[in-house]
Amino acid sequence: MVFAAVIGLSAGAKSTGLRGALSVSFVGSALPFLSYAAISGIVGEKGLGAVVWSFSLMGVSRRRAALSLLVAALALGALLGLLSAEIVAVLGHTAMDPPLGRDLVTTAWVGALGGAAYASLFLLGSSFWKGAGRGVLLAMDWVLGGSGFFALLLPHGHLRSLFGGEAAFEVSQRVSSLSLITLTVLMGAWAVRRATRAT
Amino acid sequence: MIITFDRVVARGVARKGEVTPQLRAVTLGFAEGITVIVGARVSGGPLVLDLISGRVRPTQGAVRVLGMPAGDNELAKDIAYVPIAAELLAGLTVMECLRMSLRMRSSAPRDPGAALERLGVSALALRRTETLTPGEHRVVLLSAALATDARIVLMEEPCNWFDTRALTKIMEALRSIASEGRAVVLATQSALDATRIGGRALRALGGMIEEGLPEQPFAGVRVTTEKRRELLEALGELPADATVTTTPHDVTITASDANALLRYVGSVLAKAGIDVTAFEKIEATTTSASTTPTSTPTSTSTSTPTSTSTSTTTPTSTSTPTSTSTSTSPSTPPSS
Repeated sequence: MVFAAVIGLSAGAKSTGLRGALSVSFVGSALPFLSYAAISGIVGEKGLGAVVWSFSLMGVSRRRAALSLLVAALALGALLGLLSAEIVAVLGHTAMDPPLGRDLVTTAWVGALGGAAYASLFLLGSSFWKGAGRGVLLAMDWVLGGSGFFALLLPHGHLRSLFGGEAAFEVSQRVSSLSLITLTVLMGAWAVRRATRAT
Repeated sequence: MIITFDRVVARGVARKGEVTPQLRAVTLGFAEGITVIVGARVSGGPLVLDLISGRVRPTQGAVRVLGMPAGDNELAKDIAYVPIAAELLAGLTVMECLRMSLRMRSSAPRDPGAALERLGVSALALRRTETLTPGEHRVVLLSAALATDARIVLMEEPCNWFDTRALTKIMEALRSIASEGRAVVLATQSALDATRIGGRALRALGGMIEEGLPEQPFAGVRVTTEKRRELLEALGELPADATVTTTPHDVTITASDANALLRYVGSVLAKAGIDVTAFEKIEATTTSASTTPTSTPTSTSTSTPTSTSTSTTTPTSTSTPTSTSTSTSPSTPPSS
């Protein structure tokens, strides 16, 4: 379903241009929902703590279980981000856009970084309120992540900037890419810490 | 000692409408073999298991397991825990779960199917975990404990969720694990279960853990209500050894597993919405006529029952049915 949406975006790109399709529609809806679905698939309905607990009942240490889940989530998020961004880039490429080869390289790393950042964000959300925090962070990213100060703390604004759209809180693309990496690491570490702590 | 508690103060996680379980400056040790802790959940029995597993951290004092602080990541492979609400990883078959457990906990390759067979649940091997009942989740976790080298086995309410035939195999499995020099620590609300299991008995009361079983095990329950006929209809099928005595004022029911009976009658009263004047435990040993009714699950009023029962048992002021929590009890009548 989400891939169908990505393909739909690509078709729309013919009228809005590839930059518009990637920085507005892809970052605004397709990538967050794709990552959300992926993390929901990994963590399930009951949240990160419950999955880590289930692993520990099988003899896996909670730290090892949480780190494994983080690595799996980041890898899956990055892969899905990369693939979906490339699909949009290939199908939505027009004559007005830069050469396709250059576009593919750029969208690949930005898509992968964005997918990983969203995976980390939603994994952190999964550690709150028995998994319900995931939906809260999705809504926050959607409502607050596009502009203002919160754009610095959530992936939406940074990704839009890296795909050629409006800058997040007027920071450069270089700062945005570094911010995304930092956010991914910090949110992932926080998620692991929450999932492994004792009551 | 395999496990030591040194002046441990801890607070557990409270369930809805329940007092927070606590331990108050508990010092004790667990060696190889079976130890059963008897007491209501809020008294701290299951909290001891949570502390050993590292799921809960003490606020004061220290819990050491195999010489390491409880909760150390190195201990995960050494502790097999079967909580009351166990949940296996979703998306896997039972066999895959057991293989994972074996990979984590055993140095030598073993057949995971043998443990299932020993517990009489080989048919579960290819079932997906999300299709299992809560009791089956627990049996699979116990199979994992049986099949692996986990040096410590923790189990909450070892007799809950299981029928008589399964229970016999589970008891055999626990004794077999203990005979291999491993520590088996069990927590139960039923003194009868503790007697049935054997081994060292501890009693949890008000956050203290002491040696020995709780005194004065009770024999049954007495319900004082206007709606005796409705109660008798709602009770449905009782255990085979249960006896029911009715008087113009109350209904007295006794059974060998009085704890399970107490939980069952409490849940029946709540489900059927029967107002009661008193709901009390019946002592098994004394014959005095003194009564001290306790609060009821459906009514706030209490009074001294004027029982004319011919039973030789008497009520005692003990915990209410809500304190023994129906959430952990089977929804069917207890098997004898």
